[in-house]
Amino acid sequence: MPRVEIPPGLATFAGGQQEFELPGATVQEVLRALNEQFPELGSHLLRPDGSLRSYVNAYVNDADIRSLAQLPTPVASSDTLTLVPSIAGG
Amino acid sequence: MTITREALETIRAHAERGYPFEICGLLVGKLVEDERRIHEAWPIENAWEADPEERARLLASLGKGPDSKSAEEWDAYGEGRRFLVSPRDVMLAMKRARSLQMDLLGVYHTHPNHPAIPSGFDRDAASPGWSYIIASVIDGKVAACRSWELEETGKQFLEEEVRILD
Repeated sequence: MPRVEIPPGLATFAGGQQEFELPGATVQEVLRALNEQFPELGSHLLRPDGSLRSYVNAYVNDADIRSLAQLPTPVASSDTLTLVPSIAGG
Repeated sequence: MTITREALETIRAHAERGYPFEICGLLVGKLVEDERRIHEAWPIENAWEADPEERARLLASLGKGPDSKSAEEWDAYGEGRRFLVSPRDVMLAMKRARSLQMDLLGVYHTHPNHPAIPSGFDRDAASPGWSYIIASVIDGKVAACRSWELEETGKQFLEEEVRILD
């Protein structure tokens, strides 16, 4: 199964885990599994329709999915999907 | 939270070098029994001006607080009053930290000629689970450095006690 990584600050919404495996053959399927397994984490990262919130980026290995095939980007068992928000203030 | 004197010195030097603009960076260390122990501060490019697409995506997501303003109002300031760490820099720093057996635990930024207290925009853009160090820089010198954590409800910042380790 693909591996998912999230920042430590969000681990509290995933049972304390920063890395875990989830089933899915595309980014969208993995995100759907994430929302089912960790609904609280899902609410931080995803819109109600299951797409990523605008300030959250997804990387398959080191590549932004916007430069790949967006949510339908295929993921293999050996891939790592990293989900990170931008950080801002002022 | 604890922070090494070396990390604090990195923040101070970066803050004064960047004045009168806002600078930012990431706090890296270890989480031990719910206590964030900051070992290093990593300066990061302020992407507020350099990455307008990411800035637009962030602004589109804001507006959750009681004193929130419109995206246009939040966007009316430049790098004298705003900072942005792009998700790509967050991702690369996360991987680098893990390769060093550490974690990304927070962020620091400056308030040029303003107190080290979170602004409405800080609160609107913040996420729980991170330490937010704010350095007040007055006339080019760091006058105060305080750390804050967003409540899980996201409604307000609470100040964190900072212990400096030599």
